[in-house]
Amino acid sequence: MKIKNKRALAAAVIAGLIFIICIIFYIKTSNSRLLISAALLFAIFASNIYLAFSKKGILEELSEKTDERDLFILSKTGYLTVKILNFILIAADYIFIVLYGIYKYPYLIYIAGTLSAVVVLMFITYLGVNIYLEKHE
Amino acid sequence: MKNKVKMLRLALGLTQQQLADLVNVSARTIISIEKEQYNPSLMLAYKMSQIFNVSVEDLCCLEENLKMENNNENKK
Repeated sequence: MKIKNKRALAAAVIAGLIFIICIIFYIKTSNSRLLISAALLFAIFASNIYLAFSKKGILEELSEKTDERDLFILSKTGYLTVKILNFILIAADYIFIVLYGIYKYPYLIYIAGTLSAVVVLMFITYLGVNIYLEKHE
Repeated sequence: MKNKVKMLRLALGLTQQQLADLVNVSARTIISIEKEQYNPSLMLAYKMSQIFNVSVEDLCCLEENLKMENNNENKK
């Protein structure tokens, strides 16, 4: 059997694993909520397994129809998205820092700190991907 | 980058879709190349040059583009 939809297969594997965890915990605790969760997860698992082997996913369909210009646009879109997101996050970060300076509500500095962490994480990811591509492309 | 795709395509009597099908890209890609908004890859340029029976150099006006690029560099 050939895998036609990798995304659905990944979802099926994840749902399957959580289903097994739910069953194990149900045996240990006999909590009925876990049984309901397990039933739902099994339904998700079964439907995704069906999709993985019978229907092509959006990504698989698209990859067959993309040409070099689409890939060029995709890379440009990714670059611009990162740039815009960075700008928005840093702008919001400054706004929350200024608001904290004015109102001194502690939650404002928590938000600013979280936004800063996201910006730093994005930068580290960007750098990691860039180094990887520099070496492998 | 300047190119002769439109001129050569019309000379052969092909539509944009027909040319796109021959080189396995979308018609949108051909439109962008003709409008000089997108530069084709070397392989795509080679495929088109084979269809038009010209060299890649000729198809993509490489000499002319190089001169223009050098002029722009000198202006800077």
